[in-house]
Amino acid sequence: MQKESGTTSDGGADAFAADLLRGHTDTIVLGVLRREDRYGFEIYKAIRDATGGDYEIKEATLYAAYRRLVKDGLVEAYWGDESQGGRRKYYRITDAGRAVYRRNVDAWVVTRRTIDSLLDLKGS
Amino acid sequence: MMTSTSVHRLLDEAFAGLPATPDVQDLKEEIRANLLDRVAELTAGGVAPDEAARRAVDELGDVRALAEEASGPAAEGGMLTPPTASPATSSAAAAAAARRPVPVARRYVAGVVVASAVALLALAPLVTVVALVLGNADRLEPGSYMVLAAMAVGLILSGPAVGWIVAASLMRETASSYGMPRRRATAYGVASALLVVGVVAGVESVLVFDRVYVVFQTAVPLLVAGGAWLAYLVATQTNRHKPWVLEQARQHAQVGDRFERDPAAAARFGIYAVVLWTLTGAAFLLVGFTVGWLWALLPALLGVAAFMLMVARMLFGADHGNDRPVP
Repeated sequence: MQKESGTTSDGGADAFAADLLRGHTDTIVLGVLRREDRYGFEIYKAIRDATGGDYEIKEATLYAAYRRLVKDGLVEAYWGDESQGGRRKYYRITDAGRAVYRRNVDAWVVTRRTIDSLLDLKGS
Repeated sequence: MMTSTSVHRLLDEAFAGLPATPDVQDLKEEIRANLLDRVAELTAGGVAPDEAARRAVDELGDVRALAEEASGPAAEGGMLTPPTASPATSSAAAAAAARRPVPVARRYVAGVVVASAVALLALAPLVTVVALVLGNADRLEPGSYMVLAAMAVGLILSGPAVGWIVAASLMRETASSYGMPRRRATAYGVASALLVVGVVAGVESVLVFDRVYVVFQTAVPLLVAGGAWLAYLVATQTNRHKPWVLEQARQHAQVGDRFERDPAAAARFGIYAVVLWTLTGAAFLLVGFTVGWLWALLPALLGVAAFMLMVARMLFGADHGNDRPVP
């Protein structure tokens, strides 16, 4: 997701990229949780940092994703034991979550190749 | 602290008027901790505390819709709510696809057959030797190289064969569960291989050395290690079920079983169970002392069968999925 000079100066391209990103919220969250358990703000920050701060997934979108993922058994939530400040709700990926993540990544790789070739990009 | 009061006030405003259900409270507390972190980040970057609080809350997006969803019927996992749009995981099409039976992989089946054959062949000589020793009540001649070779083969092959079956089976996706990640499945396989090798090594060492206490040097360390590892894996195991299985479990939990709805039936069941097992125990002792202990297994078996029938009739018999009031 890097900005190409000129093309993304209008809002349409930005919205296009943000839409693409949002469409993969669940898989992105699973990917962020793959290495370690994290709480909401950490996940939000990881996504923001990865996009260079250009596009962000709204936090409300993320909370909705957490609810969905927990309901489907792809992540588990637990409260941390911080003594001061607010208690953090951590998320842990389950084995089911890892399987779904892997499957979605495979699908993404295939789709990316297809779209690249349809958009007539070189080097695909 | 100006920052925190400001954040807490704005959060309260965002959640004002919503029913204070556990789910909503849960969401609010989760958001609170994340907001405080965001405010801390902004103020560290030089933003004034009040401004930071306002901006952090603004960035949240439409929290209200989220909280309303959390307070609504979706919170109970009811089936009346339409599935939330989720292209990645839980759209209706994905659910249907996930529910489709997973085709059996030929390589997996062939592998299991081969591994089972290897395990059986590796253990067959050992089982024969044990049977011979028990039959003769006599000691094995350990000088025979053939016997020692068969034992070595049993020791080396049986563990890996069983471990492979365990790992490969856990990695398989089924209609109701996702496959386990390779690393974790391998760990399960190694732990169960340790247990099998422990048992085989224990039996073989007793046969070879003709002393029972050698198991403390051969079998026990392996069994303890394998058992501890397996216990750790089971204790840290996370969900592998597919979403439709979880959904079904939620619906079943809502229905509840008969004893939950009818405590009198549960009490009756308890009394019947005590009577049944008392009679079975008495019959077991009576037959054991008079006829013989082998025949005493018969009343015990009858007792188990009667108990199972009782469970079937009393716990599951009354309702066939409808809401007929329990008599």
